[in-house]
Amino acid sequence: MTDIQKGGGPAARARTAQARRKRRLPKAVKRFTSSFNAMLGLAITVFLVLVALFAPLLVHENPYQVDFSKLSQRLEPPGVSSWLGRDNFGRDLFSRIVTGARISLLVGFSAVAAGLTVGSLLGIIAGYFGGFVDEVIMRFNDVLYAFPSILLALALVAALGPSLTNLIAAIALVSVPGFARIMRSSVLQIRDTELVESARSLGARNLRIILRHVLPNSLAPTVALASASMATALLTEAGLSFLGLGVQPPTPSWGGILADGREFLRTAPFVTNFAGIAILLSVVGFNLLGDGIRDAMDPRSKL
Amino acid sequence: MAVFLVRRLIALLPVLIGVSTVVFFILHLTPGDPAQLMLGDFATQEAVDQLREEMGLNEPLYVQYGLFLGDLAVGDLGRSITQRQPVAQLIGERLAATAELALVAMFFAIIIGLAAGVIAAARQNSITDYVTTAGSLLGISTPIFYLGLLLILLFSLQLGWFPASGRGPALVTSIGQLFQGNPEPLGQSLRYLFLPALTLGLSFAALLAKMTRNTMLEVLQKDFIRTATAKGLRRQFVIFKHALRNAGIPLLTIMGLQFSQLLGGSVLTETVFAWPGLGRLAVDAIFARDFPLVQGAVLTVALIFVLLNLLVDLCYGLLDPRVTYS
Repeated sequence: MTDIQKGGGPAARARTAQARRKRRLPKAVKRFTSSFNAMLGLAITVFLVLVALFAPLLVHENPYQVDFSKLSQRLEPPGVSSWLGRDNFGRDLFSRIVTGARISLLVGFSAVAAGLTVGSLLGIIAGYFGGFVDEVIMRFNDVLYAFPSILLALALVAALGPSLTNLIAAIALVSVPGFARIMRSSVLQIRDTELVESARSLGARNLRIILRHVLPNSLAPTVALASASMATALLTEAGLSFLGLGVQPPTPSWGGILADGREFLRTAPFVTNFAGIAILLSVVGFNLLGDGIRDAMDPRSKL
Repeated sequence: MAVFLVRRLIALLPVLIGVSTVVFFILHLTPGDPAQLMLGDFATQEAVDQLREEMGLNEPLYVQYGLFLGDLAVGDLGRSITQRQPVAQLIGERLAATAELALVAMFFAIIIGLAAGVIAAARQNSITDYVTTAGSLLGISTPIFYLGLLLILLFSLQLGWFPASGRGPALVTSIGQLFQGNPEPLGQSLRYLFLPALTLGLSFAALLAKMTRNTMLEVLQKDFIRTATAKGLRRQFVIFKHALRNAGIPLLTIMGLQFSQLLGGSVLTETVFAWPGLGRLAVDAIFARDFPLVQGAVLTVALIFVLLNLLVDLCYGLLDPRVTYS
């Protein structure tokens, strides 16, 4: 009885909860924009995405093929004709690194998107239905956690053969457990609350409850994790390409360029350094962005 | 304690079976004939048939899987295709090198990472804090193989202080020699060990510094810290005796979970420094398409991770007397 006097029935309560959630967003945006680190992360990632999108316009030499007339200029240090110098085949390093951004981001985004979809689905199923299903999914998660991600990705690529699709699949698989875990805990937090109970008493079906109530609540941690996973994905891709099991030549990738430069570390350290700086910068960007989003959405959580 | 240990070991069984299942099926996903893949395109049909027979590939998949689990239960990891030796023996030879590298790296990581994290938290929002946080972000974001190459560039190629690759005498042997009055091998071991261990250690230290800072900041806000400070205890005493000790358990847990990062990092570090460890063995085996060896190496690394996390659970009691294992 008192409930009704306070603010109406279950429907009204569900509406209030939704309104509260809506009010949270502007505050989070304000916190995000007033944080220097978060904005720096955003700037770096936006810059990277623009470079990747407009790579064909920025590139002034073929980044794939070896131009035999330029072979004599191999390992030429940075200068007027080539801003970042040339690699050991005389190819323009700037063109290769810019094209590499496109490849790395493509691999990263696709892998994280796939990992997020599969992981979140598993997390929702585990958290919402509980019991035996939950047990099986979470034990599978534990198993995936037991492998260092680079080693699992290595084994997968080794078995499937090195190709862009297999690379994306391998990196996606290693990012699944993180998303599953976060989504499951979000579901568990809200599953038994009055909000969901009232929605159910109004006759809402499982799917509707998940879409309207569970997903919006888990958005913040998932977005933050997605950005952090992007950083990890870029590092894993670079690591696999460095070992020669990622992006295959002549397609340029930062890890591959870095590995090629290794042989000329003494005479032409700039090849390794420019590729290294490109990886470092992009990973810093996504890490800052991820931390920024997390802090803005949930100022209390720090870990 | 014994009961707890036995129960935990039994609870590990499903995870271990799961881990071996994942490894088994990943390597049997290979499109095409593994025997053909291993021997290359120019192998004769007889050679391929013989290898298929040897590897049991003619059996149905579930029989192969059963045989694999059965062998695994008695510690038989099969035979390496390229080196013609038992996989377990090959792994055993390399395990010491990786353990040596990981332990010394951990030592660097704890000294640097813990100190940086505690100092940053104790002086929150000071210049020291900003520099430490920025350094830790850079460390986390630097690909470990690039860090290794930078250290080689500086310490081997420019300064010539340390060798760029390879391994000296085994650390354990060298320490034994030291006690017999011969310090020379130890110097040699450490000279080779320094750069790879520093690379792996720095990258883990960066992660550890971030986690230590965050955990310490959380603990420093607790009531008992305010009480301790109000009692008039010195700041240093409060930080080290009260705060750090209470940050110990969450830190240890995170360290255990992140240990797989260190193991993963060792794969790349060993490749950069030509360190003859388990990670390099796995990478070489992948290139040689020596699947039994890949399988064994990946399984061993996962097993180390799982056992280490059990060890972490057992260490809780040392840090917190309230924890009992019953």
